[in-house]
Amino acid sequence: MEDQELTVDQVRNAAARGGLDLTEAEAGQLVKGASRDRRLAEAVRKYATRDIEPAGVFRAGDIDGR
Amino acid sequence: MAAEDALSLTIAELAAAYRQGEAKPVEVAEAAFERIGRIDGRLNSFVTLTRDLAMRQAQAAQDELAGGVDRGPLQGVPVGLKDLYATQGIRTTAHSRVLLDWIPDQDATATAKLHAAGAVLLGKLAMHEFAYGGPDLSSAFPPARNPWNPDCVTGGSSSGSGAAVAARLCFGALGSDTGGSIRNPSHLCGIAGIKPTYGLVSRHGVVPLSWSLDHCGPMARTVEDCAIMLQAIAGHDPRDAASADVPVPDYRAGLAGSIQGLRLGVPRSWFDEGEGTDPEVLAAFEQALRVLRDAGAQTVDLDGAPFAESRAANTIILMAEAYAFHEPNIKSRPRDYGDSVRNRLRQGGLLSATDYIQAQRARTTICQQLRAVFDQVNAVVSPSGPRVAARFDAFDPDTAYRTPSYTHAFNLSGLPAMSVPCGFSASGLPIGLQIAGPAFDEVTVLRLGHAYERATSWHRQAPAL
Repeated sequence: MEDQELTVDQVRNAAARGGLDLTEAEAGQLVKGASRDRRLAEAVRKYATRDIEPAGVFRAGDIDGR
Repeated sequence: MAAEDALSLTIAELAAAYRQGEAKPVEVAEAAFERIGRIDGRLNSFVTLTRDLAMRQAQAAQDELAGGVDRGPLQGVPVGLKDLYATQGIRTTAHSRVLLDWIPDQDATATAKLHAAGAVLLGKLAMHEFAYGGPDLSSAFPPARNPWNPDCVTGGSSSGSGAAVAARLCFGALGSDTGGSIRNPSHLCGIAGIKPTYGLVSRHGVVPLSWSLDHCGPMARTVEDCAIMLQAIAGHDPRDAASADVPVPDYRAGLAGSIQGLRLGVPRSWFDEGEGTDPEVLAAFEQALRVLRDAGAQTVDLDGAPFAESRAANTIILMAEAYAFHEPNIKSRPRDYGDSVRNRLRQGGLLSATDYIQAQRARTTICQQLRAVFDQVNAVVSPSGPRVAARFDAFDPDTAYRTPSYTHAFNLSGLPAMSVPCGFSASGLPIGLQIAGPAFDEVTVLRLGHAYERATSWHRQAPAL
């Protein structure tokens, strides 16, 4: 399933969720790249194990200088 | 010495020539503009020339040197800036119609530091639009072309920086590197370039691509010249939230040390990822390893560290952060972006918050593992890129996803990495050697690069133009 290409509709819907209004032709140009991005986004998840926080975790001291 | 001949010197050599009275900054700046006028129509490396400023700076440098005021080795040296470094009163476009009319009211910190060091700014250099698109005819300016073969790409995104330095149009330039944008054009144009540790060089006043991955650094003809430029621009800057408050060592002095006994890790399994690495590139790399061993270094094969896996996390983080920066403009004025960068930015808008957070969590794990590698070795060496420069008419941006990326791991981890010339293909195109080191250990990276240069002459080769 992970290797399947996204459809134009899936790309348009994902774009719309982010406030991007794409024509069918514009969305069509993104299908190949967006499908590859989807695979990359899935690939990183194996490194996000339960006890790991994101890099650049918030530190209050960074704000008030402590 | 004729001023035109001085253009073939390195920064270190030119600085010595000034102080020995063998060359003068005004004459060298004039010669540089003459050469730009004669050659750059074929290369498109500059998008804006700053002749008036440059001649004022050259005259000031000449007067100061004559009066015994010595600002160091960049005084009177002609340089260029990738056109995303803010320059007070001078158009700064990031190679995009979106910023075509932007004239900053202050300099980027790195720009100001070059001015303070007495450098002569010849102009602003071409780049891939917003440091993100590929070479794109639909951007605001034509793409820079490779001095070794103008039918070929320069690599990017610091494309004009690579072309101008290789073509002897300027002695050094600043680039920026978010996924390899200093090291790729250095590799493909046959020059040296270093991406320092994240936080060593201020990003203040530099148009961002991805805040947590952007690095600023120098590109020049030799490692020593990179050391000279890095010395001028490194250091803590409270205006950059990611700036590191760490001591800045004497990089040039550090070149002199021995590499005897240094352990170099070679992550060989990386080289076969996807469609693998070009045999000519691998042959040049293996020869470079022999040179480094002859100079006293030891090489050890590395297995298990997630070098190749770094690309996925780097890509997702980069795309999400780039979209966040460009969101207002990509929604309101998409036609002002070139086709390549517009599509890439829109792809970033398709990612979810969870995608970004998972990539940042993966980054924590991957960085821990990459940094642990440096408990075993002093440096990691690899080719700088898997291929030599492609022809424009055969350029396929997707090739980058089918071949190993040797650069992303060191953006994701923030560790210092540089490219130095290590050979040529049968078609006469340059090949680079990448050397990466532990955080804030630029001294070791530069020392290894310099030791390699002392034992070879690739960096002395110049394109016929």
